[in-house]
Amino acid sequence: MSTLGPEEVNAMLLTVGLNPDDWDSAELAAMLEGQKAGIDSLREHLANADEPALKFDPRWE
Amino acid sequence: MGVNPPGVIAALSRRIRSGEVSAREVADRSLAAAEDLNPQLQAFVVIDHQGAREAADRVDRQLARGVDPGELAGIPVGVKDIIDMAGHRTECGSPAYANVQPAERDAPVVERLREAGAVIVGKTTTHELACGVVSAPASNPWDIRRIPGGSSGGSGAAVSAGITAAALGSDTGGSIRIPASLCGTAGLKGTYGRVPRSGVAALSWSLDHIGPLAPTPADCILVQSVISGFHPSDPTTLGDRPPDGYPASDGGLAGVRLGVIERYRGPLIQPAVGEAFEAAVRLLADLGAEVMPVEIRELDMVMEVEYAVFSAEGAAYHHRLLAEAPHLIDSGIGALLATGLMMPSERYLTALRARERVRRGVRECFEANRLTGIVTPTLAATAALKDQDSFDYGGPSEDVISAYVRTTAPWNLTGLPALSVPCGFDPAGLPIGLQIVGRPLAETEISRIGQAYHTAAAWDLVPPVFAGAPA
Repeated sequence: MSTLGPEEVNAMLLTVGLNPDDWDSAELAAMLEGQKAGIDSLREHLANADEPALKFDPRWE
Repeated sequence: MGVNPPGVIAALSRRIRSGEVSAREVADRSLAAAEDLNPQLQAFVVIDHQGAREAADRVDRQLARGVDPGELAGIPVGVKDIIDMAGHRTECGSPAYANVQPAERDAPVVERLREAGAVIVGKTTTHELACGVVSAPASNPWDIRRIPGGSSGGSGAAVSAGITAAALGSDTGGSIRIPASLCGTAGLKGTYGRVPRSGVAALSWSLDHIGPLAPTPADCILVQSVISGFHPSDPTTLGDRPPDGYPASDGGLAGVRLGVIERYRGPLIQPAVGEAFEAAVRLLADLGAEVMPVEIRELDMVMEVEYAVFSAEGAAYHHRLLAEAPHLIDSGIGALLATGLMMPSERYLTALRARERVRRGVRECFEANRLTGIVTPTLAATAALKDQDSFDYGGPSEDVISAYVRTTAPWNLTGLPALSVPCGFDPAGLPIGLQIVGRPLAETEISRIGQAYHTAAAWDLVPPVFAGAPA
């Protein structure tokens, strides 16, 4: 069962400009929990905090 | 390589250039096949009789004047309906785009097809917003109760049924290779940045690739060579010379080193798919390739990274649609994109860091083993029934999307070229695919390997004759 309640999901929807009336908050809560669990599992592989998300290359060519 | 390059397109091109058959005759037969088969297959959302005939007549006039019409002279081609074609709406398989204005100009990939003399027969069915593997209402030509795969399902069905000799698809997590495998065609996703994406509806900017489905690897690399190359409208396109469309080969694979990723051998795989894959690996070895088992532990992260990146990028691209007309989006796709929009930036950045780790792990595997390529089953399973949700592997089971994306998405995340080539049938007579992954920019090399396999295996899974050509 999701730990995210409908009020929290609706608040998140409003934050990103979506109308809560258009969405199933229970479905979204379950999917967001899955998203969180998935990203948490990635963290186990990323022990080195110095690894960047993007390798920024300042060269023009 | 012999005097004549291999492949269905090259053979048909020779017949058109020699005057044995006119481009107009070929176009008429392709259009007739499209009309005859579309009620069952729903491969096309638009069949462009006038445009195809005008293009074919132009090719015939050029040939009559001694002008070279291009490498795809008179070749019938389909174009996935997320790609702009001047004068036609780009509906993306979505009610949200059903009433958009027709495109004012061709996407660069369509321009390049036309400049090479291709005859565009129509626009092919896509899964809604190119986000899924079903491509309703399209059907699989091998069994119309089953899906053709997706999201480029109409393109797979059109080529598999012999309506067109090639079709363009797009691939964000496998959407070229999945229908290619399920429909028994070849399909090539090139290196990220090879083919301009401008004029094509995006799903995920950093994962999207445009590429061909065609009967053989030789056909795929020929089309890929035509549509590749820098274009000023797409800043991600590479400046490198496009791949050679005619890979020289004596059919042997001496000097080729291929890694087999152990995790894809089981247990999450249909037995018939596993058997066909192992037989393909043995044949590659018989052809002279050195085959070795490899493992890349970073592949553990693929599915989580793929979902995080495409849901976030897709949400950014479709933000306005999500806010203003969510009722026009399939509820499952809409929810997925909405969660992408709600993803905290820290999660997204974690996914990007993991993506870079996957990329590095794959590179290290290639370099440590001095690999030419990696081979995998394209998919763990054959074509699902239209209402099927999961596959039972005789103990473990897996949902349909995971079974199809798990083996294909790594090569979107890494941007490496990946080819699917038919390698057998399951007991129900459904096609199975072999995937060959190459180093960056190695499209020609993996196509050479694929074509050597295709020729040696002599599967002829897809009727390798274009139905529109006179017998």
